Amino acid sequence: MRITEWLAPANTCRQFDSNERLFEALKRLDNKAILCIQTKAMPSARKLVGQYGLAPDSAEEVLNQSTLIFLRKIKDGSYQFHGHAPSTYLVEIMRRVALMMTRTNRKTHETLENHHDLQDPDVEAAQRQHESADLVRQFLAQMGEPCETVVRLHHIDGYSDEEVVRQGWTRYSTTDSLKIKRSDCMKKLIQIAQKWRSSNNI
Amino acid sequence: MEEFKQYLNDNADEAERRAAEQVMEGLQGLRLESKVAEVAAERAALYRRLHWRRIFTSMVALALLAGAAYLFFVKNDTPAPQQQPVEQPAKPPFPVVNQDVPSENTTEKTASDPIAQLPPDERLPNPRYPAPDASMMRGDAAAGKNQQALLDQLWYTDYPLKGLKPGNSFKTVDKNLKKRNFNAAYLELEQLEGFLTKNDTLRYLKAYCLLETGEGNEALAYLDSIQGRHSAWEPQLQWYRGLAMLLADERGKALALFKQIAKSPGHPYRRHAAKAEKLLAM
Repeated sequence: MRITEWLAPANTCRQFDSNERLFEALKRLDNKAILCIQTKAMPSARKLVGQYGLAPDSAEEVLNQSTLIFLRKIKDGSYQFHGHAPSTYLVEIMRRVALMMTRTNRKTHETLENHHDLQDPDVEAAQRQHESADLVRQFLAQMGEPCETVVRLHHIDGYSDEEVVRQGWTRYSTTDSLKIKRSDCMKKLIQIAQKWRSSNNI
Repeated sequence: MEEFKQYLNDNADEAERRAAEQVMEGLQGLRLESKVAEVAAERAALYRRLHWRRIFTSMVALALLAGAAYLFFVKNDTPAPQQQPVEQPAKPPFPVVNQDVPSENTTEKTASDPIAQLPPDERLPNPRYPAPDASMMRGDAAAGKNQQALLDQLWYTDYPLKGLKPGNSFKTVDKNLKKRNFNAAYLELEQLEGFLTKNDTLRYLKAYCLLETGEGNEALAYLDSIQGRHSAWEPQLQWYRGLAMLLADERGKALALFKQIAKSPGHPYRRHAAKAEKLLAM
């Protein structure tokens, strides 16, 4: 390894020789793929933060929030691959997120009667999802063990049932018994959510 | 997930379906947040590693630079090793057992100026102090160096002078001579000479000062003037005369005197004289 390579940031995109491969890996929420686009987009995040007058340490927040939006759009199919580099689209999202952050900062200083026209639908959707995530986190804690672990391992950590059984992370020794338990837990989770919605008149 | 969606399609009412959708959205949000947090930690570790690599490389570069600077500046200031150890012998402050290391450089050896060496069986401790610098007294620099080398090997001088008991008048002189401050002692003796005329102690002390400051001829004149007058001084005085002769570049006379001393049984400078004789004969 040459000294210049040793001192340069690691090439996190080495294994993705095409944009399509990178996109496919992003669909699977592959860590290396996420790291790849984030590494590519980080210099732009720093630049945007400077351009929009945000604090220099906001670059990390802009990048992470934009990545969340981007991954959500890939997951729900609203972002389709058309041959372009996924990082280009991420930079575009970052621009909007940085703009929204600037507006939010300004709102704390100015009282604006009507600022709904300033909202970004993607950012709003991400905020909604973040609120739902917070609620589900509370509901999971309410359910307690073993439901919390069973649901978390599959739906949040993304482990397959086979892996969970092989590693012995739960008391269920077959994938079938694990699936049955998870189905029960999900029903309980929905009931808790339903109760919460009715108590909050939603 | 698929069977869950199936369950929602088949059994759920509207309120349940909405609650399920919110749960699914929340779970997906948690999954994405957890992924992004994982990757952020990974990225931070990468940057940290890179940061330490850069610090480490900078330190290595600085160390190399400092090493190069040391080699360039400090080593250049170190004097070059002496090429002719015989001509510029080491002058240890104290006597050492080994002496007269044979020189490997024989190219500069001439008949008139032999390079002083002795066989091991004749070894004496090296003189405690080097001879005064007399190398510039002769016009020939190379000969001057050889002369200096010879004197350095024979400069067996000592104070207090054997058999001499300087009185109170010579207290300061005595003190200065013990400190080997010959110039101060000589100036003091010059002053004393004004009222201590024809004093042998003063002459002997003056001769010794002159000898130690490299004034061979003048030292010899004083030593000659008191020769044979004090038996207790005589053996050392004879040796000092020989040294004064060498300083004055009177090798023939010096050799004759050293031969005479070397032949005298019980003479305290017999071995010294034998060494001088051999060195001069080479």
